[in-house]
This record gives sequence, C-alpha cells and structure tokens, in this order.
Amino acid sequence: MQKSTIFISWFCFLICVHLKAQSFTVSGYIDDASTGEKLVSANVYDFNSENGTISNTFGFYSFSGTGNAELEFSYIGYKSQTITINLDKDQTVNISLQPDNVLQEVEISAVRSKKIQEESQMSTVEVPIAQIKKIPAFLGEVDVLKALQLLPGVQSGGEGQSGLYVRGGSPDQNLILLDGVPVYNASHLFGFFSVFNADALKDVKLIKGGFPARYGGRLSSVLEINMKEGNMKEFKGTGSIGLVASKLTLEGPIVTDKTSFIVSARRTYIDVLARPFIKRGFESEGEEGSTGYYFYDVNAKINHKFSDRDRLYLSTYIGKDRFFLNTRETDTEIRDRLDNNFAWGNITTALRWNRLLAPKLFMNTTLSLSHYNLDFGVGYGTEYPNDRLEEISLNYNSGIRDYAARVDFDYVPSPDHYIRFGAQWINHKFKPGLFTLREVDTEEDLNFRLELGQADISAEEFAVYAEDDMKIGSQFKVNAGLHFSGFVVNGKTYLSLQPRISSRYLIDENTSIKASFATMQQNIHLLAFEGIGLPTDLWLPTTDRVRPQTSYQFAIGAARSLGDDYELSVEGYYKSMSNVISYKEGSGLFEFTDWEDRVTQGDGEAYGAEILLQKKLGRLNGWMGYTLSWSNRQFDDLNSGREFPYRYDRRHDLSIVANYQWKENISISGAWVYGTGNAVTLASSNYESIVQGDIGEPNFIFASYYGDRNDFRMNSYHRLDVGINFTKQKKRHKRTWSFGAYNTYNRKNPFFIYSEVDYERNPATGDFEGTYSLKQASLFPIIPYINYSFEF
Amino acid sequence: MMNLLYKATILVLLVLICSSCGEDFFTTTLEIDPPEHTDQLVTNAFLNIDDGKIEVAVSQTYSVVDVDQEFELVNDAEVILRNDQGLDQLVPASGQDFGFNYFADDIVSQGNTYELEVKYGSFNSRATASIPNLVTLYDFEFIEDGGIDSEGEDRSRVEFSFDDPEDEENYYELTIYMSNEGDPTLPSYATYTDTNDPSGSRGYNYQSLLISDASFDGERKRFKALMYPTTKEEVEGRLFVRWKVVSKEYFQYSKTLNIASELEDNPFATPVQIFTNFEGGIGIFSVYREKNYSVF
Repeated sequence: MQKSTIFISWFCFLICVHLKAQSFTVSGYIDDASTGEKLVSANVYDFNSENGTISNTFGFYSFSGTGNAELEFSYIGYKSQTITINLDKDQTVNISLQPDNVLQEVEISAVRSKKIQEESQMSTVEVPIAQIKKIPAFLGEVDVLKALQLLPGVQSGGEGQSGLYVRGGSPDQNLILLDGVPVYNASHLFGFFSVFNADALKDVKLIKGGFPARYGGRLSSVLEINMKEGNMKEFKGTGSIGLVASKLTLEGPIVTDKTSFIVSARRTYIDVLARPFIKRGFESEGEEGSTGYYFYDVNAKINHKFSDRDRLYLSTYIGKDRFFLNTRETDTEIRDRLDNNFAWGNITTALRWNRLLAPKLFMNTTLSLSHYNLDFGVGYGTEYPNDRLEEISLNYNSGIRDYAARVDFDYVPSPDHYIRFGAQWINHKFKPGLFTLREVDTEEDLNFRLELGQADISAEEFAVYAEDDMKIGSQFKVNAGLHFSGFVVNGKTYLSLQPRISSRYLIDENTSIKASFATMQQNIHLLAFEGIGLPTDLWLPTTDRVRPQTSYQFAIGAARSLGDDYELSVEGYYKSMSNVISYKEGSGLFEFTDWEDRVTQGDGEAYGAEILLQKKLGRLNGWMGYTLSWSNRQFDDLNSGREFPYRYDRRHDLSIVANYQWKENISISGAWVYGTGNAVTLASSNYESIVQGDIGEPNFIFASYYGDRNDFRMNSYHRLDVGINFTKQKKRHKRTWSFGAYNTYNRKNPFFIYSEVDYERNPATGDFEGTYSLKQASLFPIIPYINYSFEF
Repeated sequence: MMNLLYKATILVLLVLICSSCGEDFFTTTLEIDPPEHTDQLVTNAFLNIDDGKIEVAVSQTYSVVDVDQEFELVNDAEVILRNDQGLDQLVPASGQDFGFNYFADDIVSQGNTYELEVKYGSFNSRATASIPNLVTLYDFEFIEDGGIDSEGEDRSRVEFSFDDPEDEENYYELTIYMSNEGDPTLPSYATYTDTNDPSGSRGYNYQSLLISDASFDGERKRFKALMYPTTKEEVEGRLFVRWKVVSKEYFQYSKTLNIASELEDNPFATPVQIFTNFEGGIGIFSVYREKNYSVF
C-alpha cells in the first residue's frame, strides 16, 4: 500500500512539472546527412539560455524555451550546425549533420559536445563502433563484448571468453539488449566470440551502476546495443574475409528517405574447407560421414518513415551454433551408425513504432520475441541387410522464450526536465531441460519413448517506471526515478519497488562530483558452471522455492575534462547482492532430479574503485582504465557457510587501449591488459577419511584437503595485442587490410590448472615411483591474424 | 620521418614476436608451485551412545606432492573423551594397524555434550558433539515391485514410518543389509540403497541413505527406500535396517565426503571441501544413536 502511494505521488509530481511549463518547443530528429542514420545522444545547446538537451535512442530531441534561441547541434565526428530560431510557437526542425573524417576530428575538437562532467548519469560508458573496429581483434574477428572487457569495472571470465563480469557480478546479471530485446546467450563457440556482428551495429552503451529507472530485471549492468537502421540515401555494402568467418552487410533505401533496409550475415567456414579432408578420412576407415562445427548469424532491419511523426522499425537477429558428427559404416553387411548433434542459438525480433504525440512527447512502442534454444542429441543405430533397424537415441532440449510488449514515453516539458515513463510486460516460457530416450527395433516391433525431466514453466513479468532528469540550478542535476516490477509464477507473485537516483554537482566548468544509488531485482537466473561459459547453462525462473535476486549499489565519483581531448573519471562503488544462485556442491547439469533441488542461494558483496582516462578525439585516441576491486560470496550450503572470494574476484585490473592514425590510410592500434589471477580451489594435502555407511570394517576413502573455497590464485593474466590497418580507396570501393597479433609476446596465460602424477620405475628398487606436478594449461599463444575488408 | 617510424614499428613487432620464440614456444602448459602444505591431524571418531562404544582413527595429512606416501595411522596419540557431566576418559590405543586404532566400549551415556581431544606432538585438536534424541522406526513393509529409481531402474522397496521430533533439526542415516546366508545372526553386506524421496540423499557408494527432516520437521514420516530388485522369498528373515540418528555435523561430513569422492575425476566440478568439526585439525567427531530392525 505504501509503495503504491509513493508511486502515485511520483506521477502527480510529473503532472505538476508539466503544468508549470510555460514555453514553446522545437523538436525533431537528428540524423547523419550522408546515410539518414539517426544519431543517438547528439547534443543540442542554446547559447542564449545556456540550456541544452540530447537526442534519444531514435535520434529524437525536444527543446523548450522562450524568445530567440541560437541552437547548436553537435555530435562527435560530425560538423556542428547552428540555427537561430524564435521560440514563439511549437516547431519541428529536423537536422542532418555532415560527417567529418577522422583526421579532421582534431580540428573539430573545439565543438561543444556533451562533456562527461555535465552528465548526471554515472558509471556509463559509450564506445563508438568505429573505435571498437580499430582495436586489435582475436583472429581478426571484431568483437563488441571483448572491447567492453577492456573498460574498468568490466572483466572477462577467462582466456578468450566473451562473457562480461561487471563490478563483481556474474554474466547472467547483465541485461543485454539488442534493439531493446534481451539476448539470452550472447556467445558463439563456447564463449570465444560474441553474437554481435559489429558491421550491423550503430552504437553500444554499457551502464554499470546508477541505473535509470527505465531499465530493470538484472543486477549488474545494462548493455544497450542498437542496430543500424539502413542507409536512407544510397545503396552501400561492407564485408570482410577473415581467418574464422566472413561477413557481408548490405544496406540501402527501398524508397529514398522513406524506407531503408540493412542485412548483415556472418558465417564461419572451417567446416566447409575441411569437408573434403574429413570425407576422405571417413572413407579410409570404411565409413561415410561428416563432422564439423560452424556458427552463423544474420541481422536484418527494415525501417519506414510514415511521416515526421511516425516511424516503424522491424529488426531481427538469428544466430546458431552447431557441432555435428555423423558416421555410417559402408564396408560391412551390418552397418553401425552414429549421429551426434549439438546445436544452440538465439532468435530475437522487435517491431518498434515511434510516434511523436506532441512536440514535447515522444512515444516508442515495442513488440518483441526472444528465444534461446539448446538441442543435444546422440544416437546409435544398426542397419541389418534384412531392413531391420535397431536404434537408441537420447536427446536433451532446454531454452527460454519471451514474448514482450513495451511502451516508453519521453516527455521534455522544459530544458530543466527530461521525463521518461513507461510500462513493460513479458511472458516467459522456460524449458528447464527435457531428456527424451527413444529405442526402436523394427524386428521386435519396439518403439519405446521415455521423457524424463521437468515440465515447461510459464511466468509473467511486468514493470512500470518513471524517471526525471532534472536540472536544479546551474550546478546540480539529478536523475531520480522509480521502477516497480512484478513476477508471477506458479500462482506466486513477487513485487518490487526499486528507487533509483543518480546526481551530479558541477564544482567548476570542467569538474563535477557524482553519486548514485540503485536497487535492482532479477527474477530469472542462469544456472551455470563457474569457469566456462557453456551453451548448456540454464535460464530458470524465480519460483516459490527459488527467490529473486536483489541488489543495491552505491557509487560516488568525480569527472573532469582535461582540456578538450581528455576525460577523466574516478568512481568508487559498493554493491550488495542477495539470493544469488549456484549449483549445490556436487550437483551437475545432466541430472534427472528437480533443478530446484540442485541449486542453492546465497549473498554476494562487491566493492572497489575505477579510474578511466579517455581520449576520444585526435590522431591518437583510446583509454586507460584501472580497477581495484573485491568480490565475495557467502552461501550457507557452500564452503561450510564461510564467505569466500568469487572466482572472478580480481584485485587489480588494468587496460590500455590506443589507436593511432599514423597516415591518412594507415592506423595502428594496441591493447595491453593486466589482471590478477582468478581465484580457484586447489588441494594442498591428502588424507584418508572414514565413511560409516557400510556394514563391517570401516571404509577408508582417499580425500583431499582444499582449505577454503577459491583460496588459491592463478598466475596473473596479461597480454599485448597489436594491429595495423592499411586502407586504400580504389575505383569502386574502399578496402582495408588488417594485420595483427593476439598475445604478441606469447604470454602463457592461465586457462585452468590440473595436477598430474608421472610414474617411473626406480632402477635401484625396481618399484614405480610417482612424481606429482601441478600444471597450468594455457589456451592461446601468440596468434597472428589477417583480415580483408571492403566497403562500397 | 614517417618512413622511419613505419620501419621501426615493423621492427618492434618482429622483435616482439621473435623474442617469444623460445624452446617452449608452442608449449601450452607450465609447471607451477602447488599450494603450501601444512601437516594436520586427521581424526575420525564415532561414539555410539547406545552401545557405549567409541571408535577412533587418528592419522595425518600429507602433501599432495607425496604421491608414494603410505597411509599410516598415528598410534601414539593421546585421545581423551570428556562430557558435560565431568567424564574425562582416555580412549586407549587398540593396537590395530588399519581401521580404528583407538577403541573403548565402556562409555557411560550421560549429559548432552561430549568433547574429544586428540594430542599428538605439537598437535592438539578437539571437537564437540551433542547426543541426538533416539527416534524409532515402525510399520515396516517390503514391496517386491518398488518402482524405478532416479536412473530408471526397477527396484524393490522397503517402507517404514517414524515420528520426527518437533522443533529440532534431525538427521538420519539408513543402511539396508542382509544377514549372512550361513549364519543369519551375522550381517553380511549392505545392499544398494537409493530413494526418490527428496529428503533423502545417497550415501557413499550407494550403501546408505542420509535423511534430513527439513521438509517434515515434527511430522510422522513414511519413508520409502529403494533396493536391488529381489523377491520376498530371497530376503525373508534376512533383511535388516540399520537406523542411526546422527548429528548435523556428521550429516554434512558424510554428504560432502560422498560428493567429493563422486567428483574426483570431473574436470568441470568445483572441488568440494569435506566438512570438519575439529578445531586444530580436521575430521569428524560424531555421537549417534543406533538401532537395528528386522524388516520382516
């Protein structure tokens, strides 16, 4: 009751703000003049009133005031544009900014772009896709998530992994949105590549704390990724041929300045290249068969502008990984066969409708689908000459499917308020894992089928929110909001009111201090093995036995612009998490028992400090980030109830990323990372223990003593990646050759640790004697890459 | 100038790459130092309060590096049993080289709490345990066609009831065993035991079941244990249940020990630390109640 009162009061406040507003509005869209692509977070500034605003995710802006306004529209990498306008009535002004090339960025550094110290939102990083594409990439495959791992407060799980561990949280605590739709499994090839094809992306924003009220459902971060909309002016294409995969992106107008499309596809081809060799290999064994692995993904989007007020977007992502091994004997009368298949993938689709309801009120409605599915099948069969078929197969299927509807409103009553409110509903369907055992014998007329596992679970999730980005005086700015969510499962309802506040105080023109507080609730859980991101990781709902995860996070910090080129931010944070989920000790994936019996819930705590020095402009750009952090967990059922370090507790994490535009057609880049080793559990001693269950003599059982969980540190992780890009404008297209190397100085970074005992005969005694050794396995030595890309 | 910079960059890259090309360039494993080992005293002590019998095994840990280490019991330790009623009794060495090397069968059941102290050289470890309440079984039934177990195998079933004491955490260990064919007065072997009841979990090597009353505290419980499929004729008069009321510490110890042994060769599993209730050492001191029943 009390919660509802607070919420209603908040809405009343918003209405009051509206009634107070007595001004006229200029609104419209800001886009790229060459492509028609909408510009997100472009800056609008009135030199007369010294007020401003920014464009939203769809390029929409709204500025209100009175009298004459001298409005400057600016965006990094674009020439700014200034217009003078008399605000005596509501007006629509759409702005197209001309892009500037990279070398000219140095000259445009004086453009008044939104400075870090002016934003009330903290713990947020936006990395331009163009910058991500220049960072040296593993096997030449540009990877958005791996680029984000180079930011302070964001860690990778292990060598080559694309999972994100943000401020001591786990990968399931990241809300990854592709065009507003959650993506449940964001990796290909067991986590070595992310599912996001950089060629199809427009912008990437990561929020680590101080979450605005419009986001909800995860504890640790929001990663908002938006696809390009497609060129409205002319037909364009980009593509690349790399060591792992090739990709092609086509975009262009269907109706110029009205309807556009973009299609981007990527596929690995090692399976195709190896096919003739594999076929020959099977034939030499008297078999026919095939084996291989591939992944592909396709991004597609169509957008149509009905009018200045209405626009429709339809976007989809389809991605799949598949491993297969199929063999069949050919040189015998009785033929055995084996069929193995392991496939997983996501499908997301979003239909979004933008409508400008009034000059100050923008609406976006989204209908979406997100589906993640895993299929694993193994089958053995025997074919007899008399057509008899014997076959036994086991299939495993799990996944999650969401249907969602969402409506968001942006209301800009005055330059001092930017109000957002909206609502969301999601229908989840969880498949916790179903085994199907099938046995066929045509001669015995046997067709046996047994299903073991758990029934699908449906759940409804809803949320409403309201937030206001308020300017109070010339120095103080606050983003305050409330997020109210509910989760209904098996007749039980979990409600949660989550207050959020983020503020900044300008000390002087270049410096501000910031503080934020956010509470979050997460109603779905990822049941995963620590240490390796497997597609078998299960998304599961909160139930009457498994409670929702909750957290609160405080952060304080300071931000300062150092001249026009550099930005420095320093933040400290404390995050407390409750009901985080883990497998009970000894529980595993492929078990027939109820998953709720296999999990346990506990608490987590993470705190630390982050420093980010960033240079976005100029020939030399990049950043340097450092994180000092602690992350611990406590479960009653693990480690005898004692607190232990999270596996990814990383005391020091340092990254330096630099891109240098050496010549007009040559750019050099490098990235160096250092991180404290992961925390693992290792045995220090052995002993014999007794179990009493049997009858008669006691059983002595070999046992190992581990000390506390995760109390051993792997070696520290560091590596240097370098790359060089040669670009040349040809007659009909522009091409780029990229060369580089991952782990240039061949550091043997830890991947996992194992023990080994080698036995050798002692010549003197004739006895075998063992030698114990503890070994650290590394995954990737120096790996050079070459990549050819083109655009036309 | 630019040309020079270009060449210098290429040179630096080549030097970086070539300098990495040592003998073990393509080796992906590296030997590292194992965690430091400290000797610890290991005590496994079980006090059957109904029989007045205590069995103790004392040994030591050894480094993971000592792979040829022979398992040896410590036979010259001082093992002292105390309780909250003033008992202070030395548990004498039994002289055994294997099994329990300290033994006494004259322990008086009194008080609520027992403490076991083990002294050996500079080691001094101690643990305390409380006497659990006796809970008895009744209404036994044997069912030949007892359904399937968690792995889909056909099983026979033994059912029985008991009244779980209210407002206290209770833990039980159940073993189903057959008597010796030649001499029915002697136990022969523990039979395979499993259950589909979520309050029960498998013990070591399927030889027992561990049961927690968390889901039926204070209630009458009808428990169904599964065993190898067999006929009534085969087991009539020879089928027994050994029923122990154990401490929470023993329950945790036994569960973690079973899990640890099951996971020994699983590379994906997080290692499990075996529960200990000893301070200054490791192991388990368990005080339990035991009663044996004939099923039919």
